Order: sequence, then structure tokens, then C-alpha cells
Amino acid sequence: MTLGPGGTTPAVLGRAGDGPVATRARVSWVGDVGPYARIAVAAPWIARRARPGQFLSLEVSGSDALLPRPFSIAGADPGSGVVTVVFAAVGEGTRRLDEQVRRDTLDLRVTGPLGTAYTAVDGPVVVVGGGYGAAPLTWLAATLSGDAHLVVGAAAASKLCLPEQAHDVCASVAVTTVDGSAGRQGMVTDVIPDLLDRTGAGTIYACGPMPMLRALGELAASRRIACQAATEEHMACGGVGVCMTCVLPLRDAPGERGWHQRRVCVEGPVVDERLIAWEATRWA
Amino acid sequence: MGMTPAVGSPLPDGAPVDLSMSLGPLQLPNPVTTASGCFGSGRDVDAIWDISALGMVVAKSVTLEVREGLPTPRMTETPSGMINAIGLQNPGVDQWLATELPWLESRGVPVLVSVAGNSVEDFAEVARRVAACASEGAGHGPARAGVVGLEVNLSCPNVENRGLVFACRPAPSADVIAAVRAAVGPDLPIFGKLTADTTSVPEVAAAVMDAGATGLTLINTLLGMDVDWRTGRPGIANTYGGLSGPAIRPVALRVVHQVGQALPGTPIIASGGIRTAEDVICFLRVGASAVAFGTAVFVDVASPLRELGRLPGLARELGVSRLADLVGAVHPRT
Repeated sequence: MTLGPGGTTPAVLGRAGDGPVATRARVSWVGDVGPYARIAVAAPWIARRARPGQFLSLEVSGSDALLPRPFSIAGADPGSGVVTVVFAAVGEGTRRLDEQVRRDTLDLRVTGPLGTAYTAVDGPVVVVGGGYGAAPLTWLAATLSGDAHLVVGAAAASKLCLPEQAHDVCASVAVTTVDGSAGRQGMVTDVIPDLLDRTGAGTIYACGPMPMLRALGELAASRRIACQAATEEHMACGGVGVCMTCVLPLRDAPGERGWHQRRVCVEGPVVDERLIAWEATRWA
Repeated sequence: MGMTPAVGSPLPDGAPVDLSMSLGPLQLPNPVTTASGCFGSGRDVDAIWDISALGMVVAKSVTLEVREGLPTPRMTETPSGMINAIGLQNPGVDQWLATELPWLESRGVPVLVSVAGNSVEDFAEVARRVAACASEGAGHGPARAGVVGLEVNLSCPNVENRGLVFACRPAPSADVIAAVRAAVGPDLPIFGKLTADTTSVPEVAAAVMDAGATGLTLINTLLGMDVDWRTGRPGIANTYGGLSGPAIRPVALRVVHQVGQALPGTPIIASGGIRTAEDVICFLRVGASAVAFGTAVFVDVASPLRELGRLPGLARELGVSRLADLVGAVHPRT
């Protein structure tokens, strides 16, 4: 099925249901969240389908870099048809996107929503963001029925991503920095045990660097609570599922080695942290 | 072949254009196909657009055993291209035939099944199982959806058993093709996929055709490497990987032309940096009859469908009502 008009090839490609849509979209700069850029992608089909934890891929135009970049969705408004994304300009592609989008509204290819979403649970939860991984979590918090206690961690105050709406949608907000330049000095895992004790939370939702996810998984296991982690890996195909580059070993089915390489873009990015065979990854 | 004028008078808008192609014994509705390993078995793309629009699907390679593939990172971007080393991750031929092939057949699209192996015997056994499964249906034949043939992945540089790149030399390539031919019988079309990482592709091509191949797929990725100037670390876990994308398009064009000149009439599936309808026509002109989108699918998942839709317009611009008339239409510079 094609979703819209557009000459020989429809301008919006996708199927009925909640699967991914490939289209072009107006992309504009909205503001900054700490050192990170927040951009708006005007893509109604994606805004209607997206759920917290999912991602989209955006073309980065204007050089010999070809591949689309995946970005976690930080918010989706079906009413306005706008999806927002928060990103760090760290590589060649994202630096160029950052420069261009601050100057002009861009017209870019976009595919989404892609991958798995967080599964909602009832009752109090702890929500943990590392670096700009905090961006999608306030959207998640707003969709949950119980209290969400947010912990945001960064290397330093200058790397902190604390979305404005965090205090509105979260029951509490705690900040940690490795160098102590904001909030409490240390790692997110230093403050979570107390938080779990105080709130009785039964689930940790996490988005951030892989070593942080691993540490959170160990903490969750020791407390016998669940941890839903949004993982990341290099992707060639922008997350459609065809290139097999973004794999992560998961213990999700019997097998010779006890794990199978699964695609972060299709079987993830959100996975039950207990399934990750960390010993078979480069974060071992 | 080769008799079409460089540019004819344009045809009027809306004039019908016949996109069908003969690829040896295969009749394809159009020349647009997919490069093995860049399209999975098509399910993920079909979730976005109807893959039955394609002339043919070339599926991701299957091996006798289940393969989990290589460690990550498996991919790094390079100027106008990318380098990858996946390690032929696949569920094994039996699982693939049980789950992916029936789905592909249900989509009504011709399928070329890509087979790979560590040894001549491996290749033959995988091919035998695919052929047995294919013949359970109505039997292969022109224009039939489902399995229309095999692509023999002679040139994948990523297998863990390094040094065993069959396609680098004529004799090992011919050994594999002869064994696969013996395994599947005389009728099932076999395409040998070759590498350009060798001294003379035409020599390998001739050996493969003599050994019983129906045609050739040209070219696989070129072996490459990237390294971080600061850390000294290679760009991917496997150090070396296959370079693909527009960066290799001129090499692919040269090889298709060279082999077409050396072995006139050989059915050729072209692959290497193709991303536009104009690229498709370039590869038809140098002698291909089917043209595969690979890395272009990664760049833009809609590209095969969109560029297929642009072919009639380009053909009309060239004054051609049958796209097949462009096959081999390279003209001397004067």
C-alpha cells in the first residue's frame, strides 16, 4: 500500500499499521538542550506511529557521506505531525546536519518509526539517561501511569542533557556528573540504590552509552528488578533491518553459544537487559 | 546489440516502454534487482514498499551451517562508500528454505538464491538443497516467480577462513561452479558472482562459464580498510572489509564492459555503486541485462522502486521503446 500521492513513486511509502514509513520531511532547528541540538521533523505519518524508545533515520546531505543516521525519537505529536530528535554533533555527518539545520530549514529523507519501543509498566519506575540519552525519557515518563523518577548522568555539566519538561513529567529529578560540576559527583548507579529503596520502583528504563547500560543491568539483576535498555550500534541501512551491521548478542533462544546476533534496529533498540550477552560484545 | 544510435529522437510523454529483459534463459519484467546481502530476504523492505515491483530479488547468501557472523563494529563509512565485514551471518540453508523462501514465493517475485560455502563440497550441498526445494514447486522456468536460479558467491572476502577467496583464481572458481552444476542438474540457471580483486576478471569469467555457469554477477565488494588516525584502530573489527557504494562504480563498469567484450553474449547481472536510473542505463550499455541495487538500499530504502519508476522516462528521452535495446550500446568516442 502507498500512503500518499507524489508522481511516479509515491511521496510516502509504507504499509497500514504501525510499521515504518519512508518519506521526505522538513527538518528545522528548535533549540538546544545543554550542548545538544533539538530538531523538529515534520512527518505526520511517523508522528502518529512513534512510541517512546523507537528511532528514526535521517539523511545527512551535502557531502560524500552517504548513509542515513539513526536518532532516538525524543517526542512525537500526532496533532501537529511533528517528531523531535535531540542529537550530539560528534561525527562528520551529525556536525554537518547541526551546521545546516541552524542556518536553514532542510528537506531530508526520513524513515521511521523503527525498532522496538519501551513496554509500559504500572507503578513507580526509575528512568535513567546518560548524556543525550535522557532526551527520549521525558517523553516516556509522560506516557507512564505511575511516578517516574529521573536520573540524568553526564561526564560534566557541559555535557548534561536535562530536557525542560523533566520537572513537569517526572516525580523527581536527580543529576550526577563524573567531575562533580553539576548535581552529585559520581555515576548514575551511585544514586539509584537509594532511589529504588525510597520509591519501591520495580523497573529501570535506560537510554545511554553501552557501558552505562551494562552497569545498570548488573544493578537491576542484584535487586531482582527489570531493566529495559535502549541499545545502540553502528548502522549502515539506517535501521531498516537489511544490512546486518548493528547486531548485539542476545540470549533469546537456545543455541550452541547460548546467544544469537540480533539486529539492534529490528529486535532492538529496546531490549530486556538480562538478555544481552555482554561477554560476547566489545563492552565485555 | 550495439546497433542503437547514441541518442535517438525522444518519444512522446506516455509512450509505452517495454522494460523486460532477457537474462540468459530468464525473462525478467524489468532489469532492477538487489545485490545479495543488501536486502535480506526482502521482508524488511516489503514492510515499506511492495517488492514484487522488482525484476528479481537476489537474496542474502546462505550457508550449510548457521552463522552468527563477525564481531562489531562491522561497518564504517568511507568517502562515497562504506566498508563492511559481516561474516555471512545467516540462519543456515535449511532454516532459510523453511521460512524465507515460502514467504518470497508468496510475494510473486523471481528469486535468485545466493549460496556460499567454505569448501567445494559445502557449495554443492547447499546448492543441492536449494534445488531440491525449488523443484518441489512447478519447476523453474522463464518468468516463473519463486526460485529462478542460484547465485554462487565465489567472491565474498569476509569468510572467517581467510585466503580462501575462490573468485581470485580461475581454477578454484571453476571447481565450485562445476560441483554446483553437477549438484543441481543441467537446467537450473547458475550465476557466478566474481570479484574484481584479481589480475584478470575475464580469465576467471571464462573458467566459470566453461564450468557450467549460465551467467555472471559482476562485481562483489572490493577489499578495503580504514584506520583511525588518532587511535590507530581499524575502522571495523575484522580490520579488512568489502568496500561498496558509488566509490566502486567505475570499477564495476569497467569489469562488466571488459567481460562483455571478452565473452560476448554472456548474461550479466551488474552490481557495484548503482543508485540511480541513469546508473542502470550505463550498466545496460556496457553489457548487463540486470542491474542490482546494493548500498543504495542502505542510503535510501526507496531507491530501487523510485529509480525503476524513472526508467521509462529516461528511455523515452533516448528514443528507445524497448529498454533491452540499450544492452551493449556503447559507442566509440569520435
